[in-house]
Amino acid sequence: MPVVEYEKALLPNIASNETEWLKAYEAGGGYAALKRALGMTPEELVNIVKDSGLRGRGGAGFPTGMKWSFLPKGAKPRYLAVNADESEPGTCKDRPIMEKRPHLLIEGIVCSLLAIESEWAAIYIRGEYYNAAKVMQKAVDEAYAAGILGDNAMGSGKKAHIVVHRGAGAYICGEETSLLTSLEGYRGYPKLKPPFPAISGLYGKPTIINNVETLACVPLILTRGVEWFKSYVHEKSTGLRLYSVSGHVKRPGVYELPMTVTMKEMIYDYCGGIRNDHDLKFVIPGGSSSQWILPNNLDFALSVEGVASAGSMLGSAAIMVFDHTVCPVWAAVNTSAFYRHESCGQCTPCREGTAWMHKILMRIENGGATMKDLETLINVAGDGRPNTGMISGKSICALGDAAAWPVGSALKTFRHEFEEHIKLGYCPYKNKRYWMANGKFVNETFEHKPTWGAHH
Amino acid sequence: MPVLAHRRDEIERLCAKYPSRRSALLPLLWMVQEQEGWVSQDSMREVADIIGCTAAEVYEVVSFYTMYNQKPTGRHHIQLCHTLACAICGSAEAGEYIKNKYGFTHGKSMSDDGRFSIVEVECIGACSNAPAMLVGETLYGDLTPESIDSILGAHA
Amino acid sequence: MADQTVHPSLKPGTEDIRFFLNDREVVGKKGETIITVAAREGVYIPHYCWHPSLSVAGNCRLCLVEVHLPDPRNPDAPAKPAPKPVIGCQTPISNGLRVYTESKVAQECQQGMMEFLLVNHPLDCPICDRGGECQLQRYSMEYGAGHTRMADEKRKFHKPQADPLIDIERNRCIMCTRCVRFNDEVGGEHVMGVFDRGEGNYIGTFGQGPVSNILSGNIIDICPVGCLTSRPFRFKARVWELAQTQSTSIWDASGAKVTHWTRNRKLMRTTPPSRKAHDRYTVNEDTEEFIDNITRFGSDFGLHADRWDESRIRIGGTLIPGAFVEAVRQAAGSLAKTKVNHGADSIAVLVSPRATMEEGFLAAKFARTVIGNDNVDWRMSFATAASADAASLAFQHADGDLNDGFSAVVLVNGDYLHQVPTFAMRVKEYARLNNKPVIMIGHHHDAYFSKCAGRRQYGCRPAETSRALELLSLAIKGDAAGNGELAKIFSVAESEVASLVDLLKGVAGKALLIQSLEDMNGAYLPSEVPAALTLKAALGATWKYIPVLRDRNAFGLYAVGAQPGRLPGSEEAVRKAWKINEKAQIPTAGGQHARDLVAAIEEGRIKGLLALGADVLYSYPDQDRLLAALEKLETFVVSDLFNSEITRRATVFFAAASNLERDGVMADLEGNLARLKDVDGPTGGARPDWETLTGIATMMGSTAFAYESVEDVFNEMIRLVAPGFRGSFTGLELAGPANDHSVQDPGGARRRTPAYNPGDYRVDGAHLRWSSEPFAGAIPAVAAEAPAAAGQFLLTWGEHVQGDDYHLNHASIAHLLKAKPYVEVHPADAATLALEDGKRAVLTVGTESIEVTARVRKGPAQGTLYFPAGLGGLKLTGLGESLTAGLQPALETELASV
Repeated sequence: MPVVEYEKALLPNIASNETEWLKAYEAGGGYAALKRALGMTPEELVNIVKDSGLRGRGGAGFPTGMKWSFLPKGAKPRYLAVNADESEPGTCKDRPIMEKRPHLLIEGIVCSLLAIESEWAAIYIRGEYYNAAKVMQKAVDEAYAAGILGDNAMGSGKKAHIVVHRGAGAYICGEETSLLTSLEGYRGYPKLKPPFPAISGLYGKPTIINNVETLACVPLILTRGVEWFKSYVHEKSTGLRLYSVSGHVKRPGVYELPMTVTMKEMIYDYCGGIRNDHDLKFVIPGGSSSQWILPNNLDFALSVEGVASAGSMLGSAAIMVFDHTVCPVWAAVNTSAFYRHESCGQCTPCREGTAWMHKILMRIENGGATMKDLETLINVAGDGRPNTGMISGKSICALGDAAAWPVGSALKTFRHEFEEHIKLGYCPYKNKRYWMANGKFVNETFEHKPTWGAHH
Repeated sequence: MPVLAHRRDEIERLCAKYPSRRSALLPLLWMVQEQEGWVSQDSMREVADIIGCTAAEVYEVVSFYTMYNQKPTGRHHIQLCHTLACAICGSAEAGEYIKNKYGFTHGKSMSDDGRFSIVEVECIGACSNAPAMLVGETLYGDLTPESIDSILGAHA
Repeated sequence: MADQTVHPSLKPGTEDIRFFLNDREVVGKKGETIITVAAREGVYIPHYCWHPSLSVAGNCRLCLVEVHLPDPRNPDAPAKPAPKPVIGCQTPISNGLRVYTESKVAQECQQGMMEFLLVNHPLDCPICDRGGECQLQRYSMEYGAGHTRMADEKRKFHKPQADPLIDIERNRCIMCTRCVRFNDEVGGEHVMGVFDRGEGNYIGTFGQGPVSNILSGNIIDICPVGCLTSRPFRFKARVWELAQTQSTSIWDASGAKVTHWTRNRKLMRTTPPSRKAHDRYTVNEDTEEFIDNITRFGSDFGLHADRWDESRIRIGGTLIPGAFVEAVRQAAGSLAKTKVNHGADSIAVLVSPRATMEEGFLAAKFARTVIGNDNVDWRMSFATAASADAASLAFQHADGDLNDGFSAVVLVNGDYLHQVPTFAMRVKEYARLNNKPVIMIGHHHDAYFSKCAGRRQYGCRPAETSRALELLSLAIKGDAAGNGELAKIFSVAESEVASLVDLLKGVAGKALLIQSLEDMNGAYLPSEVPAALTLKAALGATWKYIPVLRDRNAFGLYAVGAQPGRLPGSEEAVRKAWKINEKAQIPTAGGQHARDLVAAIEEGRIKGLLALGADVLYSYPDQDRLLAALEKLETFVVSDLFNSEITRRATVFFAAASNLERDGVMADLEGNLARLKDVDGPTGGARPDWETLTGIATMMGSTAFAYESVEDVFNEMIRLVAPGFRGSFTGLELAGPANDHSVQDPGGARRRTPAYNPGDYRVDGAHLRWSSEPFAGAIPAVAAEAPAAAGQFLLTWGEHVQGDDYHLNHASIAHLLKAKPYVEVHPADAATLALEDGKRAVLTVGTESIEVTARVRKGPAQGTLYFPAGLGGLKLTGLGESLTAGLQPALETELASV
């Protein structure tokens, strides 16, 4: 099938290793949106963003304009926290924005500060993104020197301050309230909701948290227009989107596409299909928290609604592709190990549940598990749908859900393989060898095909 | 021995950027680690004093976040991702390769000559360039045995 | 972190909210959460992390309930199930909400959470002290699934050796974080923390140090499981073997209630009042009636090996044990003889500040009617008689309490946390949670209040406090001429003084002026008390006054007239009650002050002494001088518990009943009564003092001591002291509240609602108050102290509950309860000395030096040091003269560790 090329508005320079510093950014038309925004009222700005249909690009997909309008009138001060914690496994699309087009993000932040009548924003960058933090700090320094940031932003008389703040290794700090707690200087514990951050957030004040990519869209909407943004649409999902594709495709990478593209097109057209002519085993559409999709179910659009209709979630748009050499039990072990390691430990179901699931899964994978264990695991993890099982819906934050859903989904889609592991007492994929990026690491000596095909 | 005594002006400027002084806690710990390579109990007490909280509160933070080293590391600290995307693209083999070739004996995480230390970490956000690792502050993706040799060889 | 949740013990709103609880319509108040209203309606929701005194954590998830939400656009439509269950401890009630606590969803949540908690919990029940009062055991039975499916290895921790009093068994911890929050919020310092992350996270202290604050023992009770247990109590008994006696602390003038748990009469442990769960009383894990560590761990002094439990008479040079009757005869005889030989005024009666009101009453009656003098006193801790009288003036005008909170509080001096711990806790917590102004004036500010956001501190030198209060009252009355002088005293700008005056004037509603009488042994009280009372008068009628003295029954002894110049009631009533002839004089003047007693004995004016308690004599600072004086007495009758230096000099010794062996009533700082309760009678040949005094008085010929029980004494006493009393002696006994009382009334115990406080004056009418007239007397001037030389500081001091104390010295773990000497130094002074918090330093006073730990706090005023005397090492017999002291960092040696 011929591959349809779309424009790149967010990351036209994605292939370059150069950073677009202030001079280059302005030469390319940068900060025109901010100049426009300075001439508008906050209400106008919020309405533009509402009209555009922009939804959060971090994972929850909440309509951005609506979130902004939740701030209580008149309550000051209010803050903006930029979620650059990007830690959802499979996701690597905020980093290129920060490293290659830092001023796009800065412009988006300042426009948003105007919209929500805030004077102070913090960019919370995960600790592992050393380079992104350095680039952002240098760009922020440039912006201060040029008078874009400061007590008199662009001569408007309004204040706009940005602090670049680094995390120190905690996936949970990508959860919005946990990000705030970490920013306040504490362990990254999610807060009880309600009250929601728009009412009581950072330091107890009204706060908006937005993802990097979400804010990067704002200047584009202001310069290119709402109609342009809405011209890319699937159901209620508008605008171009950055997809992080990884795993066993021929061309992994970050793809900027409208959300009308289907999963099948993404894997086979844009990414060149499965490496080494292997078969597709399963695909995860939205980061490791999302439910697994089987090969017979790929004809859905990669929008919020489209992926939901396929029984999963778009989340952070991190697509991971697994070929037939991957043992689903092993993948479940790896996923549950991640959540076990990242659980903050505050609440009972997540703290105990993530560890328990991992322990049972390890025994299924390595031997020593019984069918009773499988029943227990299904009971604990649920079936991949929200509020099923002992963890989902009972924890303080969504990490409990995020830990349970993939395990529940794996159990549902590959139940027979879990049973086979238990009956055998070992993993039948054990002779496999992994392939490195250019396929040249160790030669494959593997030949396991499941005795019955993917079903459901 | 107070390690940040000579940087008090810089510290006050840092604290002034935030509406609440406590927010400077994580940045201060980064300052200590970037200067000393790790965060000791004494420096935790010092940071507690600067912020105005208890040493227990500082240790709560240090022990929560995985990137604060509570022990000295090798001259070049390797953080190798082992989460899903990297794991299905060879991170285990990359780890074995590094440990076998670069002087890590008996399952230790520090090479015998103190040149490298290695730790397996969760997803570092380089998934489409799997397998990936950080050496010091630099990210390297698309690892192969050759590229590993080239990268680590350049770190004396 | 910013606490997003509403604290349980904040007062809810006034608007009614109607909602449904298990399909029954109930009413609550706006702002209340599901859990409290449910408890009130008899529906108990299981919980671990929620506690009525602590911020809401919402992490155990055991209180998850099913809710159905009404549709705001369609109120008549049936409520729809919410997408997820919600936690009952944090979810506010709303109109039309339908809550189900026992539905399938709720039960699944409860079973699920219980199973999760048991996944890693060790099967320690057979060896765990918490067995029988454990919430994990209880909830497993009531809400659990009854079996575990866990077949993997449990996570395990090494056991820390951190605290001498509190055992931490980490494997049992369910991470509810009650202990962490308690220390941070109530204890005042975030000394415990949660370390590491995820399943492997654990609770501990930094560097495995101890949990070092006077209220730390309470985490033992509020820990729902056996993670935090009492080390002194470890493995000693099973709780169901123990008898419980509800009594009151004899250490804390706050009036704290306790439960003594005994086995075969022997005290095994002391806790806050137990509460009824099902058919039995157990420790109350939701208790708000926190007690200090001395009360908790130090109440067993009656078991000390040096206990003398038989009366003794001096024959020749030795004290020979004998029958009680013999000792009574001997005491009566020798007192009568001394009276005949040297006159009535040659005999003095001393009463322990920990005596009951009945004992003080009888001691005073004995002095006035049997001996015929005014020489009865208990106030040994004051530097001079004038200080003691100033303290009594303070009591005369006391009219404050913490009922229903306050709009603002002024604290004059004081180290409240270490003197009246639970009173300090209640004041501090109310001010902190309700964001009330806390204005601290004087040479020492209690650092315990450092987390009160509304705190304003004004430091001055000790001799200047009185002048500061005086100038402040003038300013409030409108005369700002002294503002400049006041600004200089406080070392602040004059505008700051003006703003303070405005703040005070702007306070609406009940406010409190709290003054410590403990500093410097009361040296400056003769001026400071009138100054404080003048300030109170200036502030107006809504301001109430609470003087603070740490002696447990100070108020009670003042009330019953156990001191010179006071009668327990009107003269007419006393005459009638004591059957005193109309023509006879009741001696109420010229009495011997306790503090001057030693001099009086040395000068031969006092020949006979009857002391109820040797502890009152132990408080005299120069023990050598005291012991020498005692040997000069012709008659020395002492009723006490122990063989000690003091009691060995008696001519007659009466074995007294201990704090667990007698009944009586004590009064607290707020003028409420509390019952001391006898567990099972006195040990051996010991007798309660009411019997001893009755015996001696009767044998000396009095017919007015015909008491058959201590209740008889109480009835006579209370009719005089509080004619409005409408309760009874037995009615003052505390019964443990019901199981869920703390849940349905968060903050109730702290507010001392009558359910928790049978001695509440609002219920029994016994309000110990004496003067309602505003004070209009003069304020004596105080000579300014000489400024300290360069490099020196003015030394200030006060009492400390963990210091040298006659009874505490005999507690079984006294060595673990005493605190090491420390000095509080202001941060600015510490900086000039290059002294860091927690480091060792050398304090030099005159020619004496001791090693102390430096505590850098905004406690003492700049230029002064605060030293808790009694933590040992320095003889501060300066008796109120201002002292200067030097402080230097200690030299670091290889052996010294931080």
